[in-house]
Amino acid sequence: MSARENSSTTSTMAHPSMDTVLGFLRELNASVDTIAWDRDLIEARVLDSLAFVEFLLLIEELTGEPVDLATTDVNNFRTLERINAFLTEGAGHAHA
Amino acid sequence: MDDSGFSTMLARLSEKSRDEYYNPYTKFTWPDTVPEDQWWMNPDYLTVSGTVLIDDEKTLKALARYETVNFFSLHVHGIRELMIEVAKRIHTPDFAEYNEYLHHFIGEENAHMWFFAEFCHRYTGGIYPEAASPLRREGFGNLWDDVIVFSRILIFEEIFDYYNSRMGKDQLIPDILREIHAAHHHDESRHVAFGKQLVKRLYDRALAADPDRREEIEKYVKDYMTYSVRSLYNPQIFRDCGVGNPLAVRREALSHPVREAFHVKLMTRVDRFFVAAGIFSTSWGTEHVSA
Repeated sequence: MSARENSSTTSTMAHPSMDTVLGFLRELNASVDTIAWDRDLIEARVLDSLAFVEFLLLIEELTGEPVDLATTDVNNFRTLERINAFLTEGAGHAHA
Repeated sequence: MDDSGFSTMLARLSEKSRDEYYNPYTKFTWPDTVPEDQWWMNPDYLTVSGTVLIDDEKTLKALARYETVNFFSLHVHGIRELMIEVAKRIHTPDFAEYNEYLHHFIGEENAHMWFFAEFCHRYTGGIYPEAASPLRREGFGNLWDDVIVFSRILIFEEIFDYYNSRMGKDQLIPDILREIHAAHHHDESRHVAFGKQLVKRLYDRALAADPDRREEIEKYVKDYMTYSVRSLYNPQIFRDCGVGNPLAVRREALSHPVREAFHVKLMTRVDRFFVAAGIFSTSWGTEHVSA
């Protein structure tokens, strides 16, 4: 399922990099393809503390900017909707 | 939870720790400098070994220096976590029979932490910061958390002992580095022997009390093994040695078939232990190797 199909339940257009994000998360837990985009990925057991470090590196590679958790709220990465917003709007606009 | 075989092993390990005790602060003769034109790590053990992702010797030697710092930094951060968790448990009722050996264990780990950090501070810009997850570590209940903590310690020790045991006798690297690797290997063989017996006992106790979490624990421990392999490929080492597109180089190295085969080799001993102890129903190497 592509990011655009998966995002059909949301009113937001999916950023092109969301396919890569979903591919990464699918490797961790295939249920990511069926969960709502506003569902908490940690509570849904898609992301955990071990995978999160690698996930932030993926975001860094996709955006070309290091993710500084001193200035970026970790909640930006807890739902597909927030991740999509982070990729679309950039770190400067996605602070909580 | 006591049996004479385990008690005998603890007594023997404690005796060896007393007999082989050394003062870490006077053990090493620290040179003024460590030459940067020497290999700080044998190129065969670099994260890009066998990949041809980096083929320039100057860059590879720089990578060997930064990988050494990363390797020692991982030790420092891992030992800190280890010491915190062991300190939480020593002289509590569930760990009473291990008290004597745990004192040696903490003392020896404290020494290791000091000499790894000392090397980095003397000859480089210091240790790398910990790649800590902002998420709190998962909890599985006290009995399973004991299993997780000591499994993490065992994985950590087995990975590093793979390198320490080899580089502790490698004539290619500077004397001070060879001596540090050798000293660590010497102490860790006792810790690994203790760790395997302890993990098995803690696992049997947790399984009897709460068998429903078995699969969840197996998955977590395997994920931790994958996480540990990835930690060797710190993105900062690739940035610091000056390669272009460091995250892409890291990703390509991690998933390179030669490296995946190496990850299996690196983990073989601890993977076999987890299978033999019944903690894994299948080996990590058959399904989690894709780091």
